[in-house]
Amino acid sequence: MAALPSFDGDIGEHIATGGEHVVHLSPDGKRVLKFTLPGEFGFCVDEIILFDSRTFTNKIKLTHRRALPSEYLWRWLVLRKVFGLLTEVEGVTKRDDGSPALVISQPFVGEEMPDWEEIEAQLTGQGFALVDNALLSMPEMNDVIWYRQRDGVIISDAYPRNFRLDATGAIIPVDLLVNIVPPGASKVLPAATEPFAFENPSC
Amino acid sequence: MSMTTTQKPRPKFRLITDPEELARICARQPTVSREEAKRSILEGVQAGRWQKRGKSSLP
Repeated sequence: MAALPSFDGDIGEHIATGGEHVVHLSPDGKRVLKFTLPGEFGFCVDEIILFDSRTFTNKIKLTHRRALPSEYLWRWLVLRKVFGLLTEVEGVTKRDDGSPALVISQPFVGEEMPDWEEIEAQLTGQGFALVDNALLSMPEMNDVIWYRQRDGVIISDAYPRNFRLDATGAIIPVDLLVNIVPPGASKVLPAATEPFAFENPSC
Repeated sequence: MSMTTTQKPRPKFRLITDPEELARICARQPTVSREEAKRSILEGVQAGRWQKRGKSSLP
């Protein structure tokens, strides 16, 4: 695998910090640059075995775990493929203290957010189904995990703050957590019928 | 003395299920100027969607 390029572009102006990112606006104002915070690469959906003391049985549920740097990069490539936003992996840079930061960039889409009903309509229209809260291990995951069985794409953190409503009324996901569930990898979710692949035009 | 503020109307949601159309819309971004982008993000900070804390520690 090729090494990540060193990002030595203009970092623009520091605008905000949120989640796992420090956010800068590019000098021309056209793109948002996101730099990872130390040791923070977002989260992945995974599965966890929980012991149910009432029934004395183990139950497998979906959970969040901290993502690896490679999973962080993969997330943006899948987001771009599934939803179309031209997210670029710019490379890696160093902070003042010498620690590394991964850098991605996205076009600036605006700050108007859709509401819950609009998100539900958009994701349902794209073939996603809301995952039953009974399958989730943490209440903060309730109502924000969506799964598309066709290609095994699972998205998390589907809060309004992670989408934008652009000037034409289109909903554009800008900061979703996106994973692929390979067939047979989940004990909880039904297997994909047309597994996700970057070269698959139907994904 | 009265103050008036001009606020853009909220775009009306359009359901787009065609991935190619969604990609075309994404490719047209951004549609605002740098100043508008900056002001918009800072409004997001004010509204609590972002935290602005400290300096970014990037060289």
